[in-house]
Amino acid sequence: MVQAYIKGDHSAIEVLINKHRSKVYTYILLTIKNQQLAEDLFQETFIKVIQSLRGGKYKDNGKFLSWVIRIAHNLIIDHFRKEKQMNTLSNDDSEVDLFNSKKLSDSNIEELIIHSQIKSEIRVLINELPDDQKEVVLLRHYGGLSFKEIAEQTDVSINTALGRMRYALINLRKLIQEKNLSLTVY
Amino acid sequence: MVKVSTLFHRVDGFDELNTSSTIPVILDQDLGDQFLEEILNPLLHDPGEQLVKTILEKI
Repeated sequence: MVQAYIKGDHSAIEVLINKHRSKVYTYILLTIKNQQLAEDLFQETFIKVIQSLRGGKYKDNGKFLSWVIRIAHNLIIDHFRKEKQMNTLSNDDSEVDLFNSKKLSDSNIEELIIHSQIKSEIRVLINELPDDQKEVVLLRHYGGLSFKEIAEQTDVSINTALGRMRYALINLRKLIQEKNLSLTVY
Repeated sequence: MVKVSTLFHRVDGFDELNTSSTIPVILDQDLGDQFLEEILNPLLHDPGEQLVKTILEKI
């Protein structure tokens, strides 16, 4: 599909964005924790993706999503840098309603509430992780980045990236135990 | 009675100085990925078609 777009099939980009939109958006949203900002950065990410594709800056190695997530990651860092410069750090001022998912529209109310509770609990878990561990977890899961790519992206050694993931998993398991959470509906 | 010390016994092919063995790491990664799927998949959030249309209008 990437090749199709590069070769001039303009409809291919819509297919590509639609295929990856949920993972890219969720990655941004969980990192930035602000719905409006996440939507802006989501748009910026794909505009940059399109510009880069048009400019021949993408080498197709079958890892399109990882590449998009890396672009999103850089834009998030740019955003935080700008915000820091402006000294108006307020990334938590507009909590998003993650529960209003279309996928749940056919569920009964009881199931909806349980889903909402689970999501809310998971969101708390993720947000309790130190930022460097959360970053590795989200890059790995939503972007499918290898640890080598995560190391490059976050400017650390592979061992550090692996270590952060290890600690993140230990912390998540510990938090689940401590809070006695059940992550399934039934 | 002859005592055989196992302290310096060397297993063929095992190099204790080489810490770059990938097998345990790969196993850990698989388990970790499975665990992350369980935790993070429920949080997957669809921004909707409208946002995609907005992008396409801008380009």
